[in-house]
Amino acid sequence: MKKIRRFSFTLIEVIVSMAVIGLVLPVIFSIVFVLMNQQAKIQRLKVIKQEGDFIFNHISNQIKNNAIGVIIDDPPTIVEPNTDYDINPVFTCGNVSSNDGSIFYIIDKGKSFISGKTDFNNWFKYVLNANNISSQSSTFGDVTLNSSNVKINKIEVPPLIPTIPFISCKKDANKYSPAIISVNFRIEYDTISTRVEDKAYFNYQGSFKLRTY
Amino acid sequence: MSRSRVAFTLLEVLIFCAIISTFFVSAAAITTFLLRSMKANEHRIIAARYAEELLEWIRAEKERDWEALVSSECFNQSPIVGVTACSPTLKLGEAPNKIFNRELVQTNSVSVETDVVQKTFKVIVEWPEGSDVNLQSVQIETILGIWER
Repeated sequence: MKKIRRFSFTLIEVIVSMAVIGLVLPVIFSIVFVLMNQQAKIQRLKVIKQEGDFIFNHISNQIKNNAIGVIIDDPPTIVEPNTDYDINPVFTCGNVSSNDGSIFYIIDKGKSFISGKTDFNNWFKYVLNANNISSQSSTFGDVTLNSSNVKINKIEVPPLIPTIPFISCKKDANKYSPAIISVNFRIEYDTISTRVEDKAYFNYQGSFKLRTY
Repeated sequence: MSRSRVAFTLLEVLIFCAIISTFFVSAAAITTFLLRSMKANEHRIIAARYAEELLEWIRAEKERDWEALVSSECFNQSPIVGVTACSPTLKLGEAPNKIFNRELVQTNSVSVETDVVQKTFKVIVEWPEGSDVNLQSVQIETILGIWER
């Protein structure tokens, strides 16, 4: 009989190497998983911080630079400009708050193209609707400010703190001081996961005094 | 009868083990370093937001009631509804990141030329990072003054 000499792994060698691979691979994959998880967490925080900062700064700049008053009325009352001299009518908003901002019309200081005087019927408003925040105005229609990655809501932390309204306006009738508009919202990463570690949110709170009243 | 077997010598196996273990140890070291710095990054983003939040609240308070603006206190609550006591048990944040301490340090000064009272606000958000004894911190500072009086 012809003797065949074969170079091959024995069964024991194969079993040992499989065992070693079986020990090392799970370790490597768990490390990769933890790293990616951590990276995703940072990514979520970056997204909500970036979008929250943008929305907050946008609203703050718009109100500080362009708002001359607030009208709580739907549709907003038409204000006839004074044709003799260019004096702003007083828009007293009192002490009003709104949870969605839909009837919170902020009057823009923009001038009329025809007369060159301030047109008090130019308005803009911020509306909180179905986890989105949108900017609406008499001239530009409806623009959503956030992306679909995030959800925006009013700040609700019961029972510690009562619900903080999305937008509110305060003007002291006895003082010659301009109205103050407060904006409060919570931006949250939109995820279907219910794990605490996967959630991320930030609160934004601010009050702005009207400068051009 | 002598059988000729092809096998690794002890020295070869030892060298192989040494190389492999160096590789694994360095990989583990890099991974722990990465994880630690990523965790620190995460905390820093949150801390920066908390610091800005307090500064925005102070700006809002300036519009509402300038005289009542508090001096040096802690604000370990978000959303901010007022001052909280500085205590090691009351920390700011959401679990498992409930580790932040947010403090406001205020100093007053009067401008010589204009007689306007200026207040300097320094927001310090501190938190412990891993086993490091020194606290990490984010600090922002601003000066506010009111001209219309």
